[in-house]
Amino acid sequence: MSSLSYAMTDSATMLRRNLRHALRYPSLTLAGVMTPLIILLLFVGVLGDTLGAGLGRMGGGATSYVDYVGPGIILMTVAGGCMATAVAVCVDMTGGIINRFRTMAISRASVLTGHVVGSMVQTLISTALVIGVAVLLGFRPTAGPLEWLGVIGLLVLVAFALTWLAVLIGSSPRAPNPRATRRC
Amino acid sequence: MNQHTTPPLAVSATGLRKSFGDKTVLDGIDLDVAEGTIFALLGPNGAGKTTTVQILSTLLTADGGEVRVAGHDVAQDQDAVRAAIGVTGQFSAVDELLTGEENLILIADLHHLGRSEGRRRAAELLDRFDLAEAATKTAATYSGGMRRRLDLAMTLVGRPRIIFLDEPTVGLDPRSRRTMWQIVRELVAEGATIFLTTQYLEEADQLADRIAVLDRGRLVADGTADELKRLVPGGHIRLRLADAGGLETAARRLAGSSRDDEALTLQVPSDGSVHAVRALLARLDAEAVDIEELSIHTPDLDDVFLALTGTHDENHKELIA
Repeated sequence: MSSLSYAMTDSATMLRRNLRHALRYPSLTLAGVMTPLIILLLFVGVLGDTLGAGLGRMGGGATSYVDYVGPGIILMTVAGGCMATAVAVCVDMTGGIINRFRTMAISRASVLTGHVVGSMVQTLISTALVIGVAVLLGFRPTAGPLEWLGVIGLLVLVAFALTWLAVLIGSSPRAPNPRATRRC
Repeated sequence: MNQHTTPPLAVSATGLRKSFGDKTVLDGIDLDVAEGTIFALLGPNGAGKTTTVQILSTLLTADGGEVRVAGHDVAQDQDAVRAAIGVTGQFSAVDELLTGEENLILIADLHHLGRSEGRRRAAELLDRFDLAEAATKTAATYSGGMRRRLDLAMTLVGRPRIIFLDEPTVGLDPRSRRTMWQIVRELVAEGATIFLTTQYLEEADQLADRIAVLDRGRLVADGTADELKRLVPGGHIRLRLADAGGLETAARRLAGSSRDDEALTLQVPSDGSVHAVRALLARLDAEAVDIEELSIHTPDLDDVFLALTGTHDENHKELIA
């Protein structure tokens, strides 16, 4: 096998590991998706009628307000997912297992690639969940299929960019590191 | 393969140097480890043992010197080195959120063993390290000894030719420690080379074919356990006497002895043989000296260690406590 396909295999192995972590300990992922859900329910369900009345020419009530606030909440979900990534990467980098990976002849990038792809999968599931709840609350976007494809594409790219940023923050040497590598 | 004129060396380092900032951790170290042997790097805390292992296992780069592991230069050809080695560090390198079995399969996948071979190897190692029962529990629930065994099992998945063990028995109870020693001996019997660091002299004595003593970044001795023991003065017989009068008499009678008035003890240089002890007792009997306690002290690695690494450091006192 070529080194590129090894890199792919190793990344897939790391991805499986991260998804297994997320399934076994979903609290971090859940915390990431609970915040936008609660804000959505609060703003639409509790405050929606009052806030909707202020929208003026767009109509009124909670149903029109959910159309107004929905896209913002969706973006928040994508951004919020990155927090979990930064924490997961930081925990990984400070744990002992990273040193094992570093002494093995594996693709160096696969640890990070696994994290990025894994958290994108989680973020996209969270986003779908938030969109679903918004639709239940009366979110009726007017976009056609092609436009939806554009939305999904844009969300994936935003998630990709923000996740790498989170990986950078999580793996920065200034992050809290209880077991500094400078041991002697 | 390179043509070697000397017998094949698993690890060789010449003039190895490393400093962090202005603190010199390794100050020109030369090491040679022959294939299929156990090499122990012995030293007090902060001597540079872990740094040495980290450099040999490609985790750190040296500031100077040439290091070859499995015939490959660690600075130039890291992947070739990594393919030949297995490392069990001081801190457990297991994934706590995965089960024992998943941990092993993860490593098998990273070695590209293939699905069925990976599972077979994982099952074999779980069996061998007595972890089969706990295979489906997450590593976070494991005891210290189990975690160490899983850690070592993960190191062995890829059948490494050279195995680095950084203080493999720290924090283990005596039984687990003996199990670990047994495993190490089996690995060497199977043809692996073991490079271990330890601060336990008994461990080095029990296991190692060759021992190097590291102190403050320098190698202060290198040889077999017996060779090292020859470096320090011979043994002695230690007597504790009933009273100060007895001590006085005995000290006068036994030339070359050194006394401790407070503890009422007397150290008499001796080879510790039955003949010497009998002669000593006969002389004291003739003076009617009352002996409370007698112990024979042959030189062990503790003496070597203390003699070589200086006795001013607090760490050393802890070591023999």
